[in-house]
Amino acid sequence: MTTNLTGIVGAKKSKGRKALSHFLIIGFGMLMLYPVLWMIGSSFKDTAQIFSEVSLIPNPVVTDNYQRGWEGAGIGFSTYFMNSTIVAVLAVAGNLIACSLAAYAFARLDFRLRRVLFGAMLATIMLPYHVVIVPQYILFAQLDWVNTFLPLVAPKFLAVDSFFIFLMVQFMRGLPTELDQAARVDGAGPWQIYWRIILPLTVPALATTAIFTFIWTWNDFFTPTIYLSDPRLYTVPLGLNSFLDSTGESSWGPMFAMAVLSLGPLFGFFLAGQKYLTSGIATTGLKG
Amino acid sequence: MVQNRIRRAALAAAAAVAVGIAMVGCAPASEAEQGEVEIRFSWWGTDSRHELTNEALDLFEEKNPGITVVRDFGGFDGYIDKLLTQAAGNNSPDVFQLYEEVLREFASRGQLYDLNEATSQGLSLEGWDQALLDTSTIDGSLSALQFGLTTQAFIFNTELFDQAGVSIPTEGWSWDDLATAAKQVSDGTDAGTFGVTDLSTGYQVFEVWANQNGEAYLTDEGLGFSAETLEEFWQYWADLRASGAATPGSLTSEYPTPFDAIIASKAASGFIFANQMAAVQSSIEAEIAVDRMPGETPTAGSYLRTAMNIAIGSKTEHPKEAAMLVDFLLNDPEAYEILGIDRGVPANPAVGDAATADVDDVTAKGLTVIDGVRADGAAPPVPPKPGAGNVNALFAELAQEVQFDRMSIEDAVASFIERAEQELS
Amino acid sequence: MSLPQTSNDASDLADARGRSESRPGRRAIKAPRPGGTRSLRRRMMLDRAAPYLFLAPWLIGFVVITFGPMLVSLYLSFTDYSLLSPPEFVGFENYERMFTADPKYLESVRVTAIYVFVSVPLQLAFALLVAMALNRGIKGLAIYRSIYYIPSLIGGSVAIAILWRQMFGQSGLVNQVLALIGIDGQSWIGHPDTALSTLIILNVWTFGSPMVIFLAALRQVPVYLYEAAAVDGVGAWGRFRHITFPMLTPIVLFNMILQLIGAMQAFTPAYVVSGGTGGPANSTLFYTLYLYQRGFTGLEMGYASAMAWALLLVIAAITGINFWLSRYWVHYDD
Repeated sequence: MTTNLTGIVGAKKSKGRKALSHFLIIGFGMLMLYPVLWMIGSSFKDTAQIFSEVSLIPNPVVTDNYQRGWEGAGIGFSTYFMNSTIVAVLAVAGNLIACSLAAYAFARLDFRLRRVLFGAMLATIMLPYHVVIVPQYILFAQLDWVNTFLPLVAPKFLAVDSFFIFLMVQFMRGLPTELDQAARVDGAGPWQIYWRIILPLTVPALATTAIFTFIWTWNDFFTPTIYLSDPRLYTVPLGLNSFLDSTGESSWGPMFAMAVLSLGPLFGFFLAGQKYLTSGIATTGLKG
Repeated sequence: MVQNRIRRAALAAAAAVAVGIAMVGCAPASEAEQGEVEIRFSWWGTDSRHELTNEALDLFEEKNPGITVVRDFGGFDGYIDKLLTQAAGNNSPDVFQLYEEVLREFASRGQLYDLNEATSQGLSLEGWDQALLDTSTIDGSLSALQFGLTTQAFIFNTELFDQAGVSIPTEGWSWDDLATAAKQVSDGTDAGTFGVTDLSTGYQVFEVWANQNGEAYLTDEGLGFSAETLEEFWQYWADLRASGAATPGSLTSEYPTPFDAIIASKAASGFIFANQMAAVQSSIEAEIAVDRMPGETPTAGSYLRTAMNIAIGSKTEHPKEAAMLVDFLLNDPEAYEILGIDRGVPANPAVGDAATADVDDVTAKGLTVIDGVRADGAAPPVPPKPGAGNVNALFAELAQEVQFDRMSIEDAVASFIERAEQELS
Repeated sequence: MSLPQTSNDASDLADARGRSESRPGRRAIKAPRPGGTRSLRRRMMLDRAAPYLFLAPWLIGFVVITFGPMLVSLYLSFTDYSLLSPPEFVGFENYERMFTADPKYLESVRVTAIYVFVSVPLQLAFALLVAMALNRGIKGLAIYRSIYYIPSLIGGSVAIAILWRQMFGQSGLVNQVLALIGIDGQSWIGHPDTALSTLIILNVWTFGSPMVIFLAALRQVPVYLYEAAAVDGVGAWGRFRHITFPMLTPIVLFNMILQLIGAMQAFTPAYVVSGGTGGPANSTLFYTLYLYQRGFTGLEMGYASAMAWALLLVIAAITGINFWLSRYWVHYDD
């Protein structure tokens, strides 16, 4: 259920202004869409034409980029898509569970080391990733986790993504503490409050976490490159990269085709998840 | 209401997690059976190379039933990052491709198996040119072998040259010939098209220039050229920019590699490596002609250059099988019937025929250049000191300062020499 | 930085007997079983342990996966480490060289500073504007929201890098459009003076992530506040100033801090658009790109680690200042 604010407060808005704002929004939207349209157009062009022909419309239309791309690079994109899905879904589950638990502790529970640990949590995203990856790799190599999905997924279940902890903390802090207090009066413990009150009201933050985790994990190139040596485990970005060789002849056409296909799950997940963005206090109408 | 949706979503997620966890921990089914040896081979390339290489490896496994080759392949981007991280984590592949610029770094730190020792384990060096072996011998150890050879070449867009009514310079042409021809082509074509790509940022072009002047770019003792030579090189290109023969700085910067500007028809000629001929021609409709670099007489500057190397990791647990694989990939004609010249011309002349059997006309043109250089080119350089990678980046950086008139040529040369020597020390 | 106070007062728990009244919009909470002081003490112990139980996954991850490797990288910053051979201790040499003998380092700091302080405010402003525009319950909201998010889906890809080079090149789309209004454009992406601007535009174009977060936060502003304002006859700007923005401040702080941290560590846009070179003439040499060059291309991971820790200190300082200043403008409901 979306709240129609214009109905309440915008009754005086003229049709002209509405049309103008619609026009702006659509026009601006075209700016957002142009690159995707260009990608789609390029995926139907012969590799030779992608760089010479600047127009969006391919002429002639070439369809075997898709076929070649799908079978591409030895293993085939069906495998890459499946791998990416597994990794992304697990990452989403991990982040949702672990980050919300940690966020609740930081936002609603009182303990002595809270400020210190909160600072430490934030500090973990202040160090560029490229210098941490080598010690992490050595750690995972010792655990014999290299060349599996574990280094990509297990950290999510241990709340390594401070971005989402912080996000959820900020959302949780926006909820009135009267709710907690009322629940305590009713005899609820911390877990009850977390599970029955805070979590349902933080759904927008959870939805945001799910969406971003899925998209960022799906698009992640560097970490899978480092950890995965068997192409049967490769994720989509690694598959796309297998078409490119800056020292030789890159297969741009198939790469564009598969890149366009790869947008499908991303876009789909976003569309599916975004309706959860709209639920929350505003719409459940918690009053007073 | 919302809580029901959440509950359902959570259950779905839990199910997915359960399935996922079952799959996550499993390494792919590549268990070695009793008595079977598994070795890992890493390479980079595009999908066509992956196809060919996998086919060749299948043949190797057929011929050697006790050996399984685990294949680790992908694009060029990220290849060296992965290799370095694996080395740091003591998890290097048994056999891997290496490009020339990092060979020295790996070799001087003991990461590469001495292939001279591998000759007693299945690797044959018969028929290999001693000069090529010397160029990969670092600190007395044969660190790698050439997985493909190429050479420096120059390409021309025949259509644009025709349009301007300029004939393409031929055998024995000089840098002055290039300057004249390029200027005429610039004048004779549209405003946005130029006769030649500005090559002042290319250390690989400068290398040839230095060789032609009796010097070298980098040696095992440091810098091999004089300040005057570099000044002359950058001055040459500054003159060409000024006369409109070469692409201006900002146009050159739009294209990451020298031949991209040619593919986009912004420049009518430029530098490539001879084995890139097919790649370039397939990206542009106009016919591309190829020839040796200018200024090759009286002193040749081009040389038979390693396109890429193949090496065995020093910590491999299966040196014998690794040696056998390397031998197959370098010396077996049957391998080359499959691999062709995808990685360049094979270094071992014995497999040359098998490799070039199916070559198309375009690629054959590039091969002609390679043959010419093989006959009377310069000697391949010795491996440079570690730190060469930083020096190469510095070269492009300072060349750009000159391109955009942010530094004078003398200052840029002095700065380059000073900082390069620091990097190499 | 003030965090909410919660009550652990035993007297509250002692009052909690019998069934609770049902309140509208909430499920009934089960009352605790009667069982005397033992049950109460157990509950109190659980309460004290609760934070650490909730934090357990994070603590494990922090110590093992994050903090440990961070400490290792701190150690590495005092070494010469090529990745191919063991690290050699060199003391403060890396840090000295960074600040006194490396012109490229200072250049990368300058480039990154410009990028951060120009693109982040622009991007956030756009994100907020668009979020507010899309919050109005227009038809097809879901579609618009998705369209505006699309750039963030592909922003870091090689495909976009190619497109950006084409669009902002001498004969690219941007110049074609400018020609329509009579401006003769130069090569924006090929010239050192303007290449960074194209990356700033790229960052602003991918405003989707902060926009989505703003949208989610806007949806949490209670409707009754707007209703009350409408009744009082407050206009649009007044609503923004007195309701929307104050309620949004925790999220504005969040987006600001995280976009700053992200921009200071930006890597992918510069890497793909410049082909890893940071060119032309180091005009797009982001700090983390240079760090990556030193670490992986130059095989100087020790130096790269030193750069990373210098950056961490700066980021920590800026974030700390932001948090400290936030007490003056951020409004929490707790």
